[in-house]
Formats: sequence, structure tokens, C-alpha cells
Amino acid sequence: MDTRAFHKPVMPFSVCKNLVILPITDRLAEPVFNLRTNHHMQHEYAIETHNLSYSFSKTDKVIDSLSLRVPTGSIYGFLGPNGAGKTTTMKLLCGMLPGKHSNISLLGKPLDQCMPEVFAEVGTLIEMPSLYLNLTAYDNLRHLCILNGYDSSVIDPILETVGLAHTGKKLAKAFSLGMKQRLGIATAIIHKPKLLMLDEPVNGLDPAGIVEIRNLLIRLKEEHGITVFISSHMLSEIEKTCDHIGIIHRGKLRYQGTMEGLTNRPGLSKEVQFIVEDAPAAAEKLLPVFPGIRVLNNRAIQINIDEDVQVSDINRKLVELSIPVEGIEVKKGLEEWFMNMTNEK
Amino acid sequence: MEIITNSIRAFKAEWIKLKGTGIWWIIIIGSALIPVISAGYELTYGTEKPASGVVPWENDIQSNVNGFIFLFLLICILIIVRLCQTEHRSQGWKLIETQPIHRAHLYIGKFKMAMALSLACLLFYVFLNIALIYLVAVVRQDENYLTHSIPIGPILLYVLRVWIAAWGLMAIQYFVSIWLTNFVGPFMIGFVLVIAAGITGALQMGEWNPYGSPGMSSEHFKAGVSGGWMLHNEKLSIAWMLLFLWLGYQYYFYRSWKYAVQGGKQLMKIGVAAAVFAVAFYFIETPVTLGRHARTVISGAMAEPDSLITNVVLLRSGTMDTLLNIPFVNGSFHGVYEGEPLKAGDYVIVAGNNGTEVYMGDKDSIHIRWGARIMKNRGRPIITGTRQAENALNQRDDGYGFNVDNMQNFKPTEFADLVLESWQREMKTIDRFKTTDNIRPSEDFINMKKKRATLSYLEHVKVEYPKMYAMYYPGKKLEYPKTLDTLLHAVEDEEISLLGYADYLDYLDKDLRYQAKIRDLTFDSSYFDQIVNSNKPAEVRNAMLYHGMKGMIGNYGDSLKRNQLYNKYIGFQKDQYFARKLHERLALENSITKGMPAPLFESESLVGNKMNWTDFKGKYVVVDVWATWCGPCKQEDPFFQRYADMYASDRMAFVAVSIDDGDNLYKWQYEAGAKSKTVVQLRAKDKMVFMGQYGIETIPRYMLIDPEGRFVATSLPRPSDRLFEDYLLRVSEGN
Repeated sequence: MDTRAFHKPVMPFSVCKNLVILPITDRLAEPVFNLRTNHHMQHEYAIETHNLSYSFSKTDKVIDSLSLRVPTGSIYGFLGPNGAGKTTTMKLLCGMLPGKHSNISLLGKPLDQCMPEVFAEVGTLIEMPSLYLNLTAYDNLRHLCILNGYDSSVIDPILETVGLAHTGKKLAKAFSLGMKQRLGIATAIIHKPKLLMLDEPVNGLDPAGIVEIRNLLIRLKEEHGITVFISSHMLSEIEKTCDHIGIIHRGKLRYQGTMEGLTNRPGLSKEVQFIVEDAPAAAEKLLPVFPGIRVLNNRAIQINIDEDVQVSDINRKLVELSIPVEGIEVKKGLEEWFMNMTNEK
Repeated sequence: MEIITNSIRAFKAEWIKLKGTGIWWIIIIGSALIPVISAGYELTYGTEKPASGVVPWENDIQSNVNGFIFLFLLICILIIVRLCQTEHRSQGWKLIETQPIHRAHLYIGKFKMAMALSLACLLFYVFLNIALIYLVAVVRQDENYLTHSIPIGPILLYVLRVWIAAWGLMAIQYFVSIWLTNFVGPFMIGFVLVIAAGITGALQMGEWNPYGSPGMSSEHFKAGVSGGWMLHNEKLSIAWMLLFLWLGYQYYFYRSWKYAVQGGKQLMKIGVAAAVFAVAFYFIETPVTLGRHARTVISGAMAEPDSLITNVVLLRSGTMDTLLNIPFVNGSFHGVYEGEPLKAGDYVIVAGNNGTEVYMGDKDSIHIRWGARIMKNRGRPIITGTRQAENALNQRDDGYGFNVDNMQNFKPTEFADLVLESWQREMKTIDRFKTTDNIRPSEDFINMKKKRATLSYLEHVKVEYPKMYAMYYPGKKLEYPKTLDTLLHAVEDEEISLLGYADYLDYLDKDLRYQAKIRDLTFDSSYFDQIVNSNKPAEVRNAMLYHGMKGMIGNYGDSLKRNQLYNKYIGFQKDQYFARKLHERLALENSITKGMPAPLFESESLVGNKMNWTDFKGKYVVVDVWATWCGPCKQEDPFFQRYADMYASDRMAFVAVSIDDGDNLYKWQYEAGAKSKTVVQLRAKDKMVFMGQYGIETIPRYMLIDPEGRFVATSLPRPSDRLFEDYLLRVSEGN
């Protein structure tokens, strides 16, 4: 592939609040991200665990027989409500919890045999980003460059990538939550890892920032074959970014597979949103027909239907009741399914 | 190779993280504050120039660093706590531990940074001090500093040692700071331990304490007096450091005590580390006892030597027999004694005005070093060699003593308890004694020292206690409390090994007088009969007889009585050496006794004329023997001068004979020249010969010589005593 193709003229800046973010595509094409492309992929799974369990006390298992399989080259969403064991799992994967865990493999190698060398190919961001608040963004990254012997010329491009190039002499302690999160991501990707593990990476970001990060992750995967493992408690976030998903609840893996496989699961109900002129009035009329109807706002109602019911039939019903429909949005009932599951006792 | 690059990287990464931590400010302000303020004060208000003759730099730097140690320790603790806080606050551990660099490098890298910063702090402090002292010296034109070059090498070595002494506590502090993630906890622990070290140090119990180690090192500008450039507490500091770095790493690696000490393997690792430390501790801290040398060697040196010293002599203490005469060349001397074996005991080494008592024996190598003058005095010499620990114990200031004066109203048992407690404390101090180099006196010496120290307590128990008992329980038979048994039997009745010491003979003398109810200072037949008729071993009897007869000879002004007693008892003296000594002593006393001609001696006046008693023929001569360095002489001087002004006449002359020599000559010329002209000022050209001729052992000494040059009195009362004038009156009135 001719990499020069990426050296296009710089696209106009996208302006997000008071941040100026350079288009990610151009930045990623810089040699910074020229990964060792000749490396042969010898392993099917970037992360693999086999019946991984962990407990802080004798009685309570935080992680219970977890067998994760994160395919190489995927963006894997690790979904679960607060307290499900996501962060503990992430910490275990990074060797940050004491004890011997022989049933974890990263990039095809058992973790306890490849620490800490494996971190040359793994980038992590777990819980709050670890930043030296007494240093600037540049010095935070320079610290890592010095520690690992990287050339500090990689710092400026990375700062532009995450939208912190303008921060100059500002110390990290003066950063907003979002800026800190971006800097945290920068620390995770500065050494061009093959596997990126991010714990709630969009926490604290504004909507534009969330989109930027999402695009960044997708680009990292598509253009450089980086495997991305992200955890989140928000299904919507995972849905938009990931091609693989694992759902954890109470320390146990409830689902693992492709995103498609999840949405096509038999037995899932559908959620249909109708945009109408006067939602409360429409709901009143529809209540006898669809008892599960919900008013989302002044102009939107939502009806949950079974898989075999056709949306067109419902639309016809609305027309019959002389409710003008201005728009229809059909959703698979993932959200509900997820909520139901996490509400299980 | 990779290990080196990784550890360098970890260190450099720590360097970046110092930005904005305020650590440099702590170091700069903490170490500069006091020197800058005191230098500013000196320049603004200080008018007193330090006396010339003070050895500059070394003393200043040592006392300043010693004063800085408390702050230095706090700065070290602050540095470490702050370095760890950088990680704790920003959860930096999480970041650096998910980098492809081994945790050991991260762990050691941070400690190395703490070490580097503490060294920077010490160096900054010392060089700021040098700069400020120099500045003050330049402003004041202080020749003393400007002419002495700055001993950079020794200062750096000193700083290095103080720094090493801090390693142990820094590792402990590092361990605590990684374990406790808050700021206050580790800092307060460090602070409390520093204070505690001050207390244990003051109680002489803190030699093992890593928090007291820098303070100990800072007290010695040069490491111990013998060998090695490091003191034992510095070596121990390294052992403490290794132990706690290792323990800290176990915790750091697992970040949990549970895992750090879980399982047989971990427990074994910790056990081995503790055992290795215990062995190291044992080898470092166990005091060394020095062996003997191949020959008996006396050597030494003198900084800024007195110009007139040509010889150094080794004398037997007490009798002052010359054993060895060593030429003194270019400020140093070296001599080998090859006479009959010397008994271990006290000897005296004399070089001009500088004399010092030395404990030594056969096959000992003694090196004695007189330092440069400080305020005209050289201070105590430093004695090294095979007997350094013994001499250091002898030179030690005795902090203990026992004053019986205010105890007359005590119950006998209370008194006994007090004596016992005080005695036990002193025994313990002697038992525990070791030098800064961790050298312990030989077992024989310690036993001897303890027995000698016991004598004064025994005296209290044997002489004072019965008096009290009799007062408190009139008519009751004397009984000692059981608790006193150990003290009462600490010294055998006939301790032959102590016979060479005057204090033991004094004790035997007092004991004998007490038993036989003989008054103090009575030397008559009843006293000597007690000695010769006692059933003590011959050796003890001979020593006691020598002691008593020597006292008797010096005590009787009347030569007839003196010679009678001498002739009656000298036959009982079976020790040839003692007999010879007593004979010499008697001859001397007879020669300077009333009616004998006063010996002529070589003297010079202030203008350099030779003078002698013959120059005063026809006059009574009142003689004052003194020296410029003698305090009591100076107290008496105004009285003497007043009498000279009153009584000096055709019939009577007043002469002051100074025994100053060496560098004190100029002082004598100045002081004597300023005195009343009614006193003729002379100086004995050879102090030792003069004092020997006149049997002078202490000054001031006042003598009266008649117009024919014969002694009237060899020891007058002091001029401040009214009896002094009686003599003058009698002479002036022609009686």
C-alpha cells in the first residue's frame, strides 16, 4: 500500500467547543503510526483468558470463570453495569493485581511469562488516567519516552491526534476532565501498541470528543490493525464502535460474540419510535391497543413489539387512528434486554 | 547492558517528574536559610574576629554540618515522601508499571533520585558555607582563613560519609512512603524516629539506629582515628539500606502484605534477607579488640611544632624515670623501645610543654598526634595504635562521680543504695565503652579500669558507711546490707595487678589508716609498723611501704626525723627498685632541706643575662616559681608583687623564676616585662633539670633562701595566706 496516499492536504479543522481538533485521518498517516507491518500474526486472539476467577475476599468472587476471547484486529466492547467486574478484569489483564494468573494470554503469550516486555506492544488506560499533574501534557509524554527510550519526536503528532497540541505550558492539574482523558489515551497509544485496552475511554468527554475518540479507535483498527479492547457501561457507546462484544454481569460472562450475533439473537423484542405531532395525545389514543406504549418526549412515542410483529402493521394502525406519523425509527430491543439482564437478582 | 540503559532511563524519567514538585525549593531554602542569615548577621553586626590560631575550615564545616543534620534529615524525609507522593497522587504507579520496563528499575530509579537529591542538598549546603565563610573572611581581612587553603578533598570525603550514613534511614523512609500512601503518615513516622534517635543517641544507646547515623558521622570530620575511611555506623547504614530496599521491594512488587509474605517461598526469601542482615550487623557492630605489635614503638607528630623541641621522652608514670629519648625532627618522632619488657600501665610522653599520659605495655605501637594550636592550646592529643581504645577510655570525660558531702543525714541503707546504683552505672559505662571506630579496650584493661573506678566507691562503703551506721544506730554492731556484697567483693584485698597505680595505693593507705585508727597524714612508727607487720603478700607490703615512705619523705620538713624513720624501715623494703627510688628521693629532699645550699641552675633574665643565687649574696631571697600557663600562679601574683613592693630592701630580694619554654618564651618576656620592677624576673633555661633539682612537682612554689644561699624554707605558704607574711616579717626583723 502506498502510504503517501494519506498525505492529503489538511482538511478544514473541526471546531468542537473551544478545542481545535485536527482531522484524525491525516495525523494517523504520519510515520508515527507506521507499525511493524511485517510482523506475522501468529495468534488468533489478542486477549485470551481461561476460566479466570478473582476475589478480594474469601467469600465473594468478583470475577467468576471468565473466558474472554478477543479476536486479533477487532474492536471488542466489554459491557457491564457498574460493579460487574470490568475494571478488575482489566487490571488482571494488565498484571496490576497481585497473585499468579497463569490463565491469561496477551498477544498469544502467557501474561506471567511476558511481563513487563509485553507492554511494549500493549497500551492501557485503566480507571482514571494516570497523569503527573505537576507536568505539562508534553512533559507527561516525554516522561514515557525517556522511560521507554522512544524518540521524543513522536510526542507532537500524538498531542495533535488527541487534540491537546495547543496546551503548551499549561499544567495537567489545570486540565478539564475531558482533556485529562485525552492525555490518558495519548499515554496509552504513544508507543504504537498492537493491543489497546481502554477502561471507559469516553468518560467525561463532550459529545464531539466522544465522536473523535470513537473515530480514532475505528481508524486505529482499520488502518493499523490494532486490536482495541474497551470497557463501558453504556450499550449505546459499544453498539456504535465495536464489532465484538462481551457482556459481564456479577463477574460472569453473559454473552460473547459478534455485535451482529447479538442483535440477531432470537427472542429479542423490537423498539419502534414514532415521531408524531402531539405525543401525549397520540399515546392516549393508542393505549388500549398497545398497553406497553411510552411517551419519550412531546414528539416521540415508543412501542415495544415482538420480533414477529411487522412495523408496517403498527404504522397502519396509527394512520387508522388519524395520528400523522412524521418519522419511524426501529431499534432492536438490546437496551431493554440489557436492562432486564442487569436487573436480575 | 540493557539493565544499565533501563536503570539510566528510569533515573532520567524521575528527573523530569521533579518539575513543579517544589523539591528543589525545599533543598535550596532548607539548606541556605541558616548559613545566609548567620553570614548576614556576621557581616552586619559581628565584630569579633575569630582568634587567630583557630584551625579554619575543617572545624567550621564540621560544626556547621553537625548543626545542620536535623534539618538535613527532615529534608531527606521530605524528598522521599514527596517523590512517592508524585506517584500516589497521580496514580503514577499504574502508568509506569504498565510500561515495558521492569519494576525493579522503577523502584530503584526513584530511590537513586532520592539519594542524588540528598547528596545535592549536602553539597549545596557545604559549598554555600565555604563561600559565605570566605566572603566574611574577605570582608574582614581575616588572615587566618585567607592564608589556609580550603581542604576540598577531606571535605568531600566527609560529605560522602555523612551522606552514606543517611542511606539506611532513607531506605526505611522509602519503604514506609510506598506502603502508606498519604503524606502525613510517612513524614510523621520519619520525624518521630529522628527525634527518638536524638534521645537514644544522647543516652549512648543509638549506635545501631539508622536515624542517628548521620549525626554520629557528622561529629567526626575524619573517619575514626585508625584505618578505614568509613565508620562502623556508615557500614551499618548500607546494611540497613539493603535490607529495607529489599523488604520494600517485596511489598512494592505485590503491593500487598498478604502476597509479600504468603507462601513458603516468600517467607524463606524474607527469612534469608533477615539472616544475612543479622550476620552483617553482627560483623559490623561487634567491637574489635586490637592485638599486640611486633616491637614496642613510640611515634608521633605535632602540627605547627614548637620551635625549641629537640627530643621527646617516654617516662614511667609516677617515678618519672626516663625510659626512651627520641629525637624530634621536622615535627615528628619515631622510636623503638628495646629495654626490659614494660609492664602494661600508665606512662608519660613529653614533648616540650606538651605532656600526656599514655596507657601502654610491651609490644605496643603508640602513635601520638598533637593538633595545631587553638587559642594557644593544643588540646588533647590523639592517640592511635594498638592501645587506642584504652587511651580513649582514659581520655574520656568522666561524667560520673559520687559526692558524699550532702549525705550525712541519709539513712545508711539509702546511702548504700545510692553508692551501689552509682557504682553499677559506672561499671556499665566502662563495660560498654568502645571508640568511634568500634574498637574495644582489652579485657585486662577493662577489668583494671573497673577495679580502679570501684576504689572510690569502696572507700565510701568501707570508710563513710560505718561512720553513718554508728551515728544512726549508736552501739550497734556494723552490718552491711546484702545488696552491697558485689561491690564489697569487686576488688580483692590484695589486687597485685593494681599495685602500679597510685590510686590503689592511696586506697590501701586509707583502708589501713581506717582499720588501725591512724589519722590522715600521720607518718610515724605506728603507721609503718602496721605495714611491715601486716600479713599481706610481700609485693603488696613493698608497694605500700614505698608509697608511705615516699609520702613521709616529702612530708617532714625536719630532716632528722625524716632520716630516722627512713633508716628504721628501709630494711623492710625488699624491692630493689623501690629501695633505690626511695634513696634518691631522700637524697633530694635532704639536699634541699633547711640549711642546705640552694642548687645553682642555669637561668636568664629578661635582657638575657645569666643570673644565680650568688648574685644575691647578702640578701634573703624570696623565690616564686611560676609559668605563664599556670592559672593559680597568676592568682597569687598580685599578692607576691605587693609584698615585693613592701619588703624589697637591702636585706631582702624577690625573684620570680619562670619555667616557661618553647613558644611561651615570648609570652613570658611580655608578661614578666610588664610586672613590678621590685621583682627580679628569671627563667630556668632547662625546666626539667631545674624542677628535678628542687623536687618541684607542682607550681606555684615559694621558697626562701638565706643571705648565704642556703634554704630557709623549701615550701612557703602561698602569698594569699597570711602566714606568708610571717616569714617575711621574721626575716625583715632579723630573726
